[in-house]
Amino acid sequence: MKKLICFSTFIFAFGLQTISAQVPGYQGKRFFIGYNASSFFYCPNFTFENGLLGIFELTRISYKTEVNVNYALSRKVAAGFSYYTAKQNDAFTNDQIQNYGYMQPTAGIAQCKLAIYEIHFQFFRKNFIAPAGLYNQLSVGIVKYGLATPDNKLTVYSTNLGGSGNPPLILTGPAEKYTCYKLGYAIGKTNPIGHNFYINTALGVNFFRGGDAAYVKTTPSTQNYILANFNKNLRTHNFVEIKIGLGWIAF
Amino acid sequence: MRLLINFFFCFALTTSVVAQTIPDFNNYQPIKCVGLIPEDFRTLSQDKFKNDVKTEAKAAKNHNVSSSKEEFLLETNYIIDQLLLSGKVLFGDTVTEYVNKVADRVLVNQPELRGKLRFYCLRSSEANAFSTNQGIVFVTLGLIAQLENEAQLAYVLSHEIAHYERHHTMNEYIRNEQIFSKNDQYKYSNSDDQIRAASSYSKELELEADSIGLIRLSKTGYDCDAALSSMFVLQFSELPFEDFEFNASILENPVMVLPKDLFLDTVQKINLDNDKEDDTYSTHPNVAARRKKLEIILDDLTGCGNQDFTMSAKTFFFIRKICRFETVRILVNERDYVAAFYNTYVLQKEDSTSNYLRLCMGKSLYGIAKYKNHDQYSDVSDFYGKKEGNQQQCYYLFQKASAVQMNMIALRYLYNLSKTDSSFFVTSMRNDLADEAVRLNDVHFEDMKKTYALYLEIKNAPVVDTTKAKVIDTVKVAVQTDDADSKVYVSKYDKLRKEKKKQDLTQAVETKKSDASKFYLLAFGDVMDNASVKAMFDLAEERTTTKNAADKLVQDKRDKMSSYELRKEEQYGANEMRKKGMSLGIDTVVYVDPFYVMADDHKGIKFIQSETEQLEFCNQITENAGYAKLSIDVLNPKTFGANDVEKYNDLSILNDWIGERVAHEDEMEMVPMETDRMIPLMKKYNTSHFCYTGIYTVKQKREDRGFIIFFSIICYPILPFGIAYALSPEYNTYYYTLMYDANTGKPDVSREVHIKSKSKKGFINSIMYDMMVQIKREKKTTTVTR
Repeated sequence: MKKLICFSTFIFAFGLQTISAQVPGYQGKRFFIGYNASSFFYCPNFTFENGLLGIFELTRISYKTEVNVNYALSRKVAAGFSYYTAKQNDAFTNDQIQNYGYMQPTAGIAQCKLAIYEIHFQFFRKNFIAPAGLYNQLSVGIVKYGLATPDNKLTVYSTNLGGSGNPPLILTGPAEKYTCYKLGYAIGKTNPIGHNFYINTALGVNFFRGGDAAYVKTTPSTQNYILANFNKNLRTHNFVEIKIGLGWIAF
Repeated sequence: MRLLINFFFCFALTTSVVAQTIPDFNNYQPIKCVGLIPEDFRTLSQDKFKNDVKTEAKAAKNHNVSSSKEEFLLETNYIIDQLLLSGKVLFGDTVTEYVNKVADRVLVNQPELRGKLRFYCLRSSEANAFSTNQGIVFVTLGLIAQLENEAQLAYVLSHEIAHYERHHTMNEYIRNEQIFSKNDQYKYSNSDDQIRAASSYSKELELEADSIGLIRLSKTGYDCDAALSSMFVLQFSELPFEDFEFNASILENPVMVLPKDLFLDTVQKINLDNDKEDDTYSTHPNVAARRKKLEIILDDLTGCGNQDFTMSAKTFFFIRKICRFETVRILVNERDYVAAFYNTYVLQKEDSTSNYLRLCMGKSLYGIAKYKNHDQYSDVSDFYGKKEGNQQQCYYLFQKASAVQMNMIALRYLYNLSKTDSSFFVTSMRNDLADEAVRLNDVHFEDMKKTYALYLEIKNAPVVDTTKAKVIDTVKVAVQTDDADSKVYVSKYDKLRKEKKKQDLTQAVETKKSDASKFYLLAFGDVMDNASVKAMFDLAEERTTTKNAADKLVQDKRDKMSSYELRKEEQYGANEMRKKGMSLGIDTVVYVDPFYVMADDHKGIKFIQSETEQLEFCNQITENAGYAKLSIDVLNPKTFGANDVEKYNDLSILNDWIGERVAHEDEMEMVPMETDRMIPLMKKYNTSHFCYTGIYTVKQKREDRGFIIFFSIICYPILPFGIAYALSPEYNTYYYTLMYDANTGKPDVSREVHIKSKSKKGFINSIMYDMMVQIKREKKTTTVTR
């Protein structure tokens, strides 16, 4: 609690200082807080054989929410911290089912809960001044993900042994969340509304590398079944994202 | 009794006009607007438009206003308002009051019509008058400066009133729309036919206005012949006020005489038969046609008066003199320096001691010399061959004189001027030319001194050859021949020695002659001993040395760098500017007439939105200045109240100054000619920094639509986005900031920010605030090192 109070006092004092000084920013304000919802469609089972109809049938929409805190470092650069959270329904692909002993969740999907902790830099494009206008954003973050079930267990059955009539197999999720790294790029636009608010829109691409994902390419087994499926779907869901959000240009 | 009433009427008019501030023509001050700002200037264009539409609807049979009429009313209201708020229109001043009195007289029998009309003067050197559909009649000062009597002015007004009465401007607009839109009613095979048709209709209207104007004039007591004589004025209005022989002695001094090769033997005579020019594509008939029409009407006209003046002739000539004094200043401001010079010369015949005219002449010479020095003289002067009459001599002289010659002639004139007018402005012009004489033309005080010594030597020589040009005339050094040497035997060596000696002497004489022909080096010959001349050149040398040293330092640094390093250095500078911006350390700025133009590819300017947004834009300026802690004044004519006449006058001066300054290229580092009028403003607003800012935002079709759709078809998953993107319009917004230091005439900021987006308030706030921070931010004391 003490830390929080100290941090808040620091931010408040810093904010006051920036208001009274001749500084860049939006009418002298450099500190801004935002909320974004991000989404994109994806086709987990898309193959060319399925054709266009297959695309529409199999297309899913992904959702993520993000809260970010940013500070305009200079006329052209802003830095910030984002926290993302999402609960994604991962459909298991035929390919995955076959590779992992024909196992698939009893519910047809597995829920994955993820959280991303990210730092990012926004470089405002020609003629725009931070924090308003077009920007290129580079980000790096840590992704924590795992089962969304309360007991951290996934019930699967093997289709190879006769379908859903077989006794289910209960897989336990990892004691600690899976981890991987996210490298992101986005192009966005911050459009101030009045003196204190803004609307943000952005289109981004994300690459998930390293961490537990390194195990994916090892031999498929029931042990890495959850990881392999979640990681694969994580990449698919979040490779492209469109963000729309609101923000508060605080001080 | 009628005579008595007329007498009192005339007396009252005369005294009321002259009773206003009588200018001292020796120390003439440009006229200013006086009194309350009229309603025409204060009503928003969109309100005027709405009222006009209502009025038109009432007048129409079915209470409907056609789209063409609406378009016309919208456009004209905005365009006329731009003119009204430009600062170029005069109201309440002596000249405008006079024009209004003449208008009263012209419309003495039509009080209702008089109530609908407003008459203003326009600060323009062109001889012109025009009326608008809204009932505003503009008369240029250039026109009044050319007229011969009050009756001619009355006829001009009467003609313009006829245009208003018959709704000529609107009718012409609608007819042109029909012609150029290839309406069924007017089918023309090609654009040439269209232009001919439009021109023909316009000429019909002009002749109609001429006729109505003359008939009205005949009922006012004015001499109807004024209509014909005003056509004569119109025919020759492009000539100077008078046609006097030019005597160059005003540019000479006892020592420096301009050589004959700078003068024409004879000037081209004025063509008296230029009234029948081809008017096929013109909006106005030629003068001969108009005169003929007037003559026909005059033959049948009865009851014409015979008055050339209803007020006194003295009043008219007094008003015309003001207009002439104003016109030379306007000509200088319009960079028509030679015309300004000759017209000033003409005016000096009557007012030889006028400081105002001397200053105008000094300004003209300064302008000519500067443009000569920077090899841009053709931008500000016509070819002398196109000119007629005695003015041609001036055009020839200034065209033939070299840059260095013109520089020294102008410098000498300004030196003389600075002896009687020690103002900052005159001193700045003089010093600037002194600097350029040294830096660009390689003229040095020592050379002038030597030339002057040579001049004295030649002058004091016993024999003078009178057949040569004035300066060269005095060049004569007797070649000493050695006739005493009359030996019987002369060796070949003696002969050769004698020949050599003779040759050397001849060469020496030729050299002296050649040096002495550099007449411009004698520009200060008669005041060579004056300490102020030496001081002026010493200072110029000092400034030149400093500037050259600084330039050399930069050049040396650049020479040592490879092309890669140079490019990198430039990139570094550009990046630094992009990242950090400027630091000007300016506390107070005056924002002059901020503009906002919203346009569409198809529909052109969106007038109503532009005006509304302009008002909002001015609020944004004030708001952001508050955040940036920048002290500002915003001169927005659209928000002026009735009592803000002083602000309107300030705006007029500022617009003139900035308009002229923008016309000069930055490299010339020219002192703008209106600087003398800016000095009181700098004191009043407590700053020398004046900023022009505005926004131009345009909606366009995307140029690369085809490519986007093609690309989307190839990458078919993005096809819906591609089509949506390609079909959506493209918005471009340009934010301009142009700020000058009125002390130096140099730009503090000259920036165009291009945003590929709609002109959203948030973006504008962001950029505007950032610009203001850069203006306000203290200058860095340490230089950035890499």
